[in-house]
Amino acid sequence: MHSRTKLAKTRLAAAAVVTVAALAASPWVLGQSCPATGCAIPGITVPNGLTICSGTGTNVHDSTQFHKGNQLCNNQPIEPASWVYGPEHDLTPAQQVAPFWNVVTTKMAAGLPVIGRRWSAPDGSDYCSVAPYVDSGPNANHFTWADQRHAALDNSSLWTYWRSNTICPGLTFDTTAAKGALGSSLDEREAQHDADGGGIVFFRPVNSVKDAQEAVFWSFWPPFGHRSQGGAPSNYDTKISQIGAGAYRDSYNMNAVMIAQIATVAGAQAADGIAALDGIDGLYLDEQDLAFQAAGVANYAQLASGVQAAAQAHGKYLCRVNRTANPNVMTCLPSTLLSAADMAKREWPLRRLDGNGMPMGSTRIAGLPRRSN
Amino acid sequence: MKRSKMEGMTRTIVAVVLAAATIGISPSVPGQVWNPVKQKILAGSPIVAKRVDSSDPAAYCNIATTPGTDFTWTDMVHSGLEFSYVWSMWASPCATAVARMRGAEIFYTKRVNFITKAYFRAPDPSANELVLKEMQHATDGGAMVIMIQVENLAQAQQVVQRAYYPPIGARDLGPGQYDTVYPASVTGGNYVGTYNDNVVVIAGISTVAGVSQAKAIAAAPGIHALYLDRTNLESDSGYPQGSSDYNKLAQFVQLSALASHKYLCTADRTTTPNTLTCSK
Repeated sequence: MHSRTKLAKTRLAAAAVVTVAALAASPWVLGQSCPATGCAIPGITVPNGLTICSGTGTNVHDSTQFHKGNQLCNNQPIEPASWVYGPEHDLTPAQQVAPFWNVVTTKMAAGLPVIGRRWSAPDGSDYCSVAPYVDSGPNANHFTWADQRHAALDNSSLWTYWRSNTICPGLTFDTTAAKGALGSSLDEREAQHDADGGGIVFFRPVNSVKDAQEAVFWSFWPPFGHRSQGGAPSNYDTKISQIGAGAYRDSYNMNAVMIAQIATVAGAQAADGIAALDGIDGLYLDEQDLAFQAAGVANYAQLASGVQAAAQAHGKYLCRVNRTANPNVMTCLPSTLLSAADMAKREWPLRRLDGNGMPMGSTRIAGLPRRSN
Repeated sequence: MKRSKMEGMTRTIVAVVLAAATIGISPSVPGQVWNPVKQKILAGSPIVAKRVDSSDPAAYCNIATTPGTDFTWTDMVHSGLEFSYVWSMWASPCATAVARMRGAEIFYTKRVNFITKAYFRAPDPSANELVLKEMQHATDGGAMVIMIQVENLAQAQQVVQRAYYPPIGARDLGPGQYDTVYPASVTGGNYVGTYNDNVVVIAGISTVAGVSQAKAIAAAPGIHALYLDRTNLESDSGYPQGSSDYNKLAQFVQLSALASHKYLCTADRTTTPNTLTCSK
């Protein structure tokens, strides 16, 4: 049994080497752009799937084998393709099983519905009216979503309200709904500012698999993504310490939630590939906008059912907004494909790339240890 | 081919001179260095900057007044700051400021081919497009020190292209507040004509990909310094500062700066405000 495992590992390592070699010679590597259907090979800065130090065979993430303080893992020339990402942000065994500090993640990991309310006043004056957390019932409210797309909200307002746990009278961290943002773009600026401001549930407009990869890329820390470090919010620290989770930097990737907003014909047509990405936790079927975009061009009903089917097929959440409610209410429901038993033993995505450099597949059933990145 | 390049360059210079004449300014006068940061670089002296992350004019003035500070480092990346607030802050009077030069750390914020740039050398620099807005807003608002993260030579060259006026770069000429932020008493009444000799560009190295290209980035004309972004290099590489793997990366950045006789900057994140120190 042991040798079989070893053989499998060897095969995996050999496959990785062959893959890297093949990629190095592929025309895509030589400068062809990433197709709209997404890139099927590695590319994000570090996550190349390498864990074994060159020459020594040491697993860099095994503290009994590798001592990060005084041992050198990367003996080879400095190249992102061959760099073995280090253990600095790995979680301890205790942190791996600690509760999530994002209530939305907690609910999603348990396969429960999540519900959130919109705020949009340019000065943020309506935030406190939607901020209270309500666990269940007709007024259930698990997250708030700042509408940066159809409102004049910018990060100066978001930061004011997000970075404090007590800005709304009478509320505390535990009685405040998770902070979410419906972004207007996929660029680094908005992703960085939203995350640094304290956002933890993100909705990003995507039209392709590549768009979805980019949304993930800017919103998550390395090695899964490329979020820059330097302005992390401190308002999660007390909660993190209370529940024994990994530090914000280390446990953020596991707690952040990314929902792909599907509002265009192209986005709907790419929904299956988008839903398949590990960094994507759900699809937001923007019925109003998709119907508007599809009018006279495509069959809305077909597109919408395709989006639903994509979420279902990949075990991802499907979100919809009730625009008649004031404020608008978003409801996200889990795929019904997974049984309650599956959900109960579901492992939260590792937020890493697989051996092919793609964000890891969709829902994972228990069996792998949980790690930070 | 050479001839057409020369012709193109001549045309650009003529266009700049004509444009300058049209709006009543003189063309570049080499040697007019009024930016104390650039003066220090020319003299080989150390440079110190203090980080600004809120748009409070009083706090900004307080930081600018701190003795020994050469420029204020407004962090547009890790703050909620927007340019509308920053421009207003930079323009607010601060009579006692010792750091009269405004610096801005800005986003590269490109959108296309984000995947190709990190892993492989994209042969077509246009595949990695620096978004114009960031640099234009920073410089038009009065930034004379630009800090920006880059990962390869093509990106560094685009930064230079966006940061400098022709003929070195292609910064757009238009109204801004640079003339009020830096009045004639500072610039000799010729901000535009002397800008290229005064702007300072610092390339941030924060990733393994960036380190692997640090030599080429440091050697790029128009880049004055490498900023070894220790926090992000730790985050990106997965090794703590001081570890063997981290040190390997950091030393490579230092050697790259040294090889091109460029400055090396590091930030002390334990101070409030954070302090950036650059030296040769």
